[in-house]
Amino acid sequence: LARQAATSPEDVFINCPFDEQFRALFHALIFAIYACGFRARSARELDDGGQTRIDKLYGLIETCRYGIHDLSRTELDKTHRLPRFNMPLELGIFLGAKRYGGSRQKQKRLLILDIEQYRYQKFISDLAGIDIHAHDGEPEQAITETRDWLANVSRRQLPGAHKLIRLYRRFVRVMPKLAKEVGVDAKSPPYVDFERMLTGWLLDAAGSARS
Amino acid sequence: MGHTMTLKAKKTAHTGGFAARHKKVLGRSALTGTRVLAPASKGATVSVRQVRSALRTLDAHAAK
Repeated sequence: LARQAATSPEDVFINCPFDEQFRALFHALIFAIYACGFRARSARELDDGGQTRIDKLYGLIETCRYGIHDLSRTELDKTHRLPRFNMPLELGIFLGAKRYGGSRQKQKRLLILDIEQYRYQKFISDLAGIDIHAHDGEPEQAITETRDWLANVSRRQLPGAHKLIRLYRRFVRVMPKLAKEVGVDAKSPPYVDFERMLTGWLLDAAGSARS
Repeated sequence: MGHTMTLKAKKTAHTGGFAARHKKVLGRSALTGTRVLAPASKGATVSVRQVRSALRTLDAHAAK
């Protein structure tokens, strides 16, 4: 029998832009995932020089049962005047694994996000029929969409969206002080360090400096 | 007629399996009531322990 590729029911693959313009939304997605008891996975964690990038992505996508795909970045790159195709490619790999993979891969669930709900019809119309959610470019809306979707697909009881947003605001207020205290760039913390700051903060009970 | 012997495969826990290797619960968040999972990424310059220690330091400063 061929090996069935396992998927982790805790792991959520984030497929989104990693640039400065998108940073607040990226952080909000990571926040929602960890605060809901899941684990964020993204191409940002790939640092193994022994594999090609696409092989790393295959492995990462194979592992994750859940995937959040943000198609917001449709603008042309300012330098080269060309669009970025990485997000649609990674969405395609995820959909392919779900469609053609074994029984475990077929359990994959995905959330597609964009700025507007029906904008995709102008640039990726083959997705017609798939429910696409809009975050309007707002981190708090992205948290709500992520939380509601995770609750739906995992059937777990999760903290409410309003509570998560209140906590997110607190975390955003504390993060610059925390980053300074641990010696991390507060403006653009590396992904790996941001995850540690977030999980450490979530573990800690509410305190005066933490609120 | 002699009795027949049936062989049953012994059930064993899959403790060394995928879940054990990939899931690491750091604890439960008092803020959200959910489990907090350890990040899978490598190469961080700070640890979760250092972050928690820094939070205590910030708390101590705020209390003064």
